[in-house]
Amino acid sequence: MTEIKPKKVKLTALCELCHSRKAVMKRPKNLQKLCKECFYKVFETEIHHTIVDAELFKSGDKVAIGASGGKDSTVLASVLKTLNERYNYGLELVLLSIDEGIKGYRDDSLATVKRNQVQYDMPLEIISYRDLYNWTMDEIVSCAGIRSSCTYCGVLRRQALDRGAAKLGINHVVTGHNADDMAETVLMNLLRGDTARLEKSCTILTQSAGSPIKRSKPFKYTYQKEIVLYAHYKKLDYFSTECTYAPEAFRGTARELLKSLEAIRPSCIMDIIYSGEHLVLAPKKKKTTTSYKKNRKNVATPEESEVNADGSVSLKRKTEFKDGNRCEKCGYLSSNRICKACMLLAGLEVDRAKISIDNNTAVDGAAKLTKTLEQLSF
Amino acid sequence: MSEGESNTPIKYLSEDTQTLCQRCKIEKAILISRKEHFCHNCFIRFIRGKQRKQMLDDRYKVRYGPAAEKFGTQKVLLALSGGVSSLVLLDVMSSLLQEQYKSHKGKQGFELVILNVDEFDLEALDRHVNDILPQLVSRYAPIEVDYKVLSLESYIIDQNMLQKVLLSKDFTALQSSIELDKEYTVTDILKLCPNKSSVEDLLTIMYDELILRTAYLEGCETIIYGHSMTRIANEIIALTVKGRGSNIYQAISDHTVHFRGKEFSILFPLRDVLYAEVVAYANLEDLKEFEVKSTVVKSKITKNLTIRDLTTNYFSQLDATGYASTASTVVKTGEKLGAPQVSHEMGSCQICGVYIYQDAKEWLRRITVNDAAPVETEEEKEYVELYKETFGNPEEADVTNSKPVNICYGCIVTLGGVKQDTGFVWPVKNKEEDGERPLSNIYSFNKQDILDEYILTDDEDEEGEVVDGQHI
Amino acid sequence: MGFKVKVEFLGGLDVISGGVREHKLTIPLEEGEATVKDLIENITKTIIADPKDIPVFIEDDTVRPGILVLINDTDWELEGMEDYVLESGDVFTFTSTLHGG
Repeated sequence: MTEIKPKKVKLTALCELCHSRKAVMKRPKNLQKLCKECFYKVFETEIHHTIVDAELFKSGDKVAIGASGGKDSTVLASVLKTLNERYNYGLELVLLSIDEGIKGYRDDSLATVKRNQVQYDMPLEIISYRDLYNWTMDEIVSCAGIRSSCTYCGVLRRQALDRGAAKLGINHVVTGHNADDMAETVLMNLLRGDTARLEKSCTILTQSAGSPIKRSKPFKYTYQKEIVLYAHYKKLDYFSTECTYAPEAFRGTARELLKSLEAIRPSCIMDIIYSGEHLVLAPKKKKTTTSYKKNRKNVATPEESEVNADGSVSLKRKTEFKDGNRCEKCGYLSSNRICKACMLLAGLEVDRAKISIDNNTAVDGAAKLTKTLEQLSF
Repeated sequence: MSEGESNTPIKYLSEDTQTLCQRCKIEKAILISRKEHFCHNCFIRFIRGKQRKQMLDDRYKVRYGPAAEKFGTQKVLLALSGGVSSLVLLDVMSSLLQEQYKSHKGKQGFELVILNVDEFDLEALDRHVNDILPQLVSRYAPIEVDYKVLSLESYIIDQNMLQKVLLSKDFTALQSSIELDKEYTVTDILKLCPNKSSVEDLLTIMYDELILRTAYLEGCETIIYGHSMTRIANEIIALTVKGRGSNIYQAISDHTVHFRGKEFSILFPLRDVLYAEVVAYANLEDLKEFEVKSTVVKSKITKNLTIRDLTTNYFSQLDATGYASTASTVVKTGEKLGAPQVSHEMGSCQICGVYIYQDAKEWLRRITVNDAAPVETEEEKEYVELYKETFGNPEEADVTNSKPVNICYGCIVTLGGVKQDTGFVWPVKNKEEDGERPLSNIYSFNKQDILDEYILTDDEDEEGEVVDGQHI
Repeated sequence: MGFKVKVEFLGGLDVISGGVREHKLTIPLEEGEATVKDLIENITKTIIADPKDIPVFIEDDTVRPGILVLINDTDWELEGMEDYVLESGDVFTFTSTLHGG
């Protein structure tokens, strides 16, 4: 967009930080009015603080950016590149994309990621559900119905990202989850009574049970609105369409509530995250105190049975990944006998067999991916 | 608002239903609650049973011998707003006292005192609660229920306690003394609030303390609130949204509070009863005629609502869309919460009094950077100069007579957006001594006053003696 | 009578306008008389193809929470929001901030 001819800026319209340029945006966090330059500065610096305070990276780390082509991951790639250069993180950044096989949604967004690859000069790896699992999301939905599509997709994407990263020799995936997502998760965990995940709603660094791959969310404290504005002002190339398979109805109600709350008090996103960081389960009353003290963090889930829909557990400081267990079906690392993805897919195979007899590929499902992964490389 | 009689957790059966009550198997069922058919009496007993279960402690029973000595006369303070829930709680509690009275030859386990904090002007109520109280209380004869009506203004015990409070850009709260050229009323203070949700938040703080003070003055060891399960769920979400999540485990559980050297039990006896069930009870027991409502219709525009309005609407929508079990899920989850870990001792918030678990301003500073990008062009430099000439150097704000306020995250949020020129005024809790100021003459009405009005010519009633409500 | 402004739908919001992202809109009022309120009304009448999509854009008679509004590239919250007085040649950008991240 062309800049508007230099009119006299009213003093009250100046940026509240530099007092020298016209304010163009209002921060939801503290209602400050900022100019573009100051907005870029605080936006980037806050993410830098988040990264440094949580000690997310070490120099020499190879980090995969879970890239969907959407606004969050596109801005993440751009900001990480900027910060990596500005503060000498010494990171090797890679774009890692998942092709779920959703016609009209993923096709276009992958094209965006491919342009990002050039724009940010980063290697790109695309992993598809079809190659990994011999299923596309479209097929899964036609088989399992639209209702649980997010559950399937969540489990499969998680594992796909893990596998992609593992193959590339990377043990850290960063995702574009932002503050609004975190706040929504806190509310959802309360509304669904998900005590197993309540304490960790706001954990910035997580690790799936049975996986050597860390995941982190550098945008934990970054507002969706600011991400969109940053992408807009920086003219970043991102793709935006709702996933064809809309979120489940109940999550939709929580999202609506959050948007209304934000309209009357924009800071509420941060406020919910602050609350979320202080939600702690009380010691269980019936439990013997000795075993409880030993393992305080794990009160809610004494055994590692907790592979929920998204399979996340909080990363205990310096927890070593326990090696050894592999899924009996696909051979991939898993804390259970059969990994969650194989379990879901096994259920589907039965249905697919019924639906399309002529296209029966019920043989190996996820097992096929081990072979496929061997062919992956840059 | 449509509290939706149709799709809520309560389903009313039509007159010609022939299904029998599943409890007594004698009477015709009139409604379905929790998948069970109830007749009128069994439903009432069912709800009362929920309260009985919450108050099993010996101190609420008729006591003889050593137990009687141990507990002395127990007094229970009931916070009554005039809304359906508190009316139902009063009815349920009075019924307990009546049962005790009958089966123990006129003895009762405790004395009940009603406290109403007058919201007539504030909420534009359709009538004064003290106008309904005599008739309401007379329903429960021969049980005597005492009542007090308190003005919100009594929250300010002493004008000298008021401090001007300002929140700086880096989230430090500072207090300074104010010129006492004018007296501040609570209404004045509320006008300084940046928005409706802040008013709502501060009112809650004031009500809770006023109720505690009354319990102290009246010698009540127990305070009971009429919160339904739905309301508690709503409170859990609202506290989370207000940045007060660390306090959920206290605020919504039955707990004890220390105030001025005494210990008080705070209970929510209707915590197992859904709001829809409370409403059904009120309908069946003819309590609706006593309900005191606001004459102002709640706006439908989101922007005009408060955080609690939005969360309340959310739960009634869930009720209507088949997610009614959410309230119970949220309450169960909230009940599992405990105290967060403390990294270092932070003391209590000087605004609201809650315990502080983490230095909120430090947390906010890390994620809210206030550094400007460099000023580069000549034009930009001119603007900076012009700005300084007009508004003074913002970096040189006068903080000489100020001292810091220890403030929790929730209060930082509530004070966020207070205008810098007017500032905010509040009785900041500075020293223990503030807590020792005398609490006399705080009632705007008590039972005696109201009775006096009724007995215009005959004013021979002895001082201090409480006259039974039924004598009116 | 009447003047022209430009309207953009980004962030996937173009679904409500048949996939078209940029629109030239003639406001049938004198310049100086029309506010964003009039613009919103005009958009719902002339641009939104399917009336079912109006709630995607509007709630409580204003732009739905979650849609970011820029007036000449400035956050509308700095420009008086619904009360901003339209000028000829203004550019209004509506961006959905909702998911697809």
